[in-house]
Amino acid sequence: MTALRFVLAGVLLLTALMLELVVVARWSLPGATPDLLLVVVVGLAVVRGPVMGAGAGFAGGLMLDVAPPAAGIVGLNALLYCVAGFLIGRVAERTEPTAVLALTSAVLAEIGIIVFGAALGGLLGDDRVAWSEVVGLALTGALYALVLASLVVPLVIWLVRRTEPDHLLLR
Amino acid sequence: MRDNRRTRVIFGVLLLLAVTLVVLDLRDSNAGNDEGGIRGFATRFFGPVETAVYTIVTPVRNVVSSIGTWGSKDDRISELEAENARLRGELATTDFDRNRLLELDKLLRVAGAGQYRVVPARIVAIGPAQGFAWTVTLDAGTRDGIKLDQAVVTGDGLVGRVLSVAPSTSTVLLVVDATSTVGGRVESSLQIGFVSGLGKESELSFQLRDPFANIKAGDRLVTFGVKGGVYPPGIPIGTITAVKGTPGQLTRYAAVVPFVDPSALDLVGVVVSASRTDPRDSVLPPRPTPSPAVTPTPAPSASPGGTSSSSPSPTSSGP
Repeated sequence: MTALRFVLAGVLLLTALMLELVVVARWSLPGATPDLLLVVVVGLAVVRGPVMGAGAGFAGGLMLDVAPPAAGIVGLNALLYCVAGFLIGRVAERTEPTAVLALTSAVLAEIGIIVFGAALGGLLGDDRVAWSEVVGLALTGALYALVLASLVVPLVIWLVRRTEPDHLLLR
Repeated sequence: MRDNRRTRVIFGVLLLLAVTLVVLDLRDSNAGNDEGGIRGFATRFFGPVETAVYTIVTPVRNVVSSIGTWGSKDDRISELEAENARLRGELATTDFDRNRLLELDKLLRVAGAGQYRVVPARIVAIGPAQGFAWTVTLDAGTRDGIKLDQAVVTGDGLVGRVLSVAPSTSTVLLVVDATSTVGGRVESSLQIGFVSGLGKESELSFQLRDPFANIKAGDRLVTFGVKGGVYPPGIPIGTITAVKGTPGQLTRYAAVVPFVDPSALDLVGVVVSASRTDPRDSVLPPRPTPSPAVTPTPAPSASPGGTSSSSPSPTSSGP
């Protein structure tokens, strides 16, 4: 059962990343690219807790760092998504995991990832970071995350519960 | 309590792992070449997956074909219509396929005009905007003859250069990326300078070598093509829209709108071998207004990349 849990998470993360890079990025929406990967991490963290959140965040972020055409610092997104997944899982574990929680954490996580990603990237010598654009990216990113989270998080939760009738889970 | 500690230990380990990866990546000074290391290894897996997803998703997309430039060429349209009818007999032709046929034709015409040999490829994945990098993935790699640092073009002009190559995919750095620099030359003159990306979708910055050079809005730029350099000469880059600063000022630069629209890219060509001679301005489409223009050199019949066209027909360039 543990293996199935990881396989499912891996498949979800991979699907989200591929759809984001091949389909969603191509739409050239204004501002940020809608972060499918993040909402999947949020979904997994909310239903499964901080360990899965951190693990899924790390794996998803690392995939984002190494899958072509990535050109940033390898490991940076792994770090950011891992922290986001952990914090969201932590909060979900201790309080009531509601829809509001999922949406709020998705929005805040997206803003955090964009802002801290730009800050860390700039600090670590990434020449491309343009601070004038960060505000626009963060706002549009938050909006897209809100929309995506309302669609994708329920799907992720349903999928996890379907494949794991774990009596300890029951969230 | 134990569970809490276990959680924190796992989180700490993952965090440490991520930081280690970052440090290793920063230490690795081989910035442009991702063939080695974890990214190169991952590309061999993710590249084909991206290509597969693209192939699955593409017929589902409903793309409005923009025929645009062909309105005045009646015989060309009937020629294309005959070819389309033939294609329809073989497989279901969608608007998307027809659009792609036109893009390929434009690309091959540019190749014929400039005597470049191009390998056509499709863009299968685009990097996310919040990474600040303007990079795309092509579905052609070393198996197709692509090498590092080759120039990438479309029928409209310069797209970028190859940043890294894998067996079946490659990553392209677009000209609009903040780290991209191209040697550029002003049309019909010998004024040269550097065209740099700004990370903005439709603006480049052109810094002239000669601060007293006489340039004005409307001048078009082509690649300069340093001998032994990356970009072959004569590839259209963009049009100057504004000149900032006064002549003689060292910070004088010009704003350039690229011919190629990065958000509308699909089919591109990688220049695998450039012309032996400088095509000068012959790849640029003729100016719409009368001016002492350079006569386009007709491509010989044995041109490696050309199709049935023997000379570049007037096509409207980008924005």
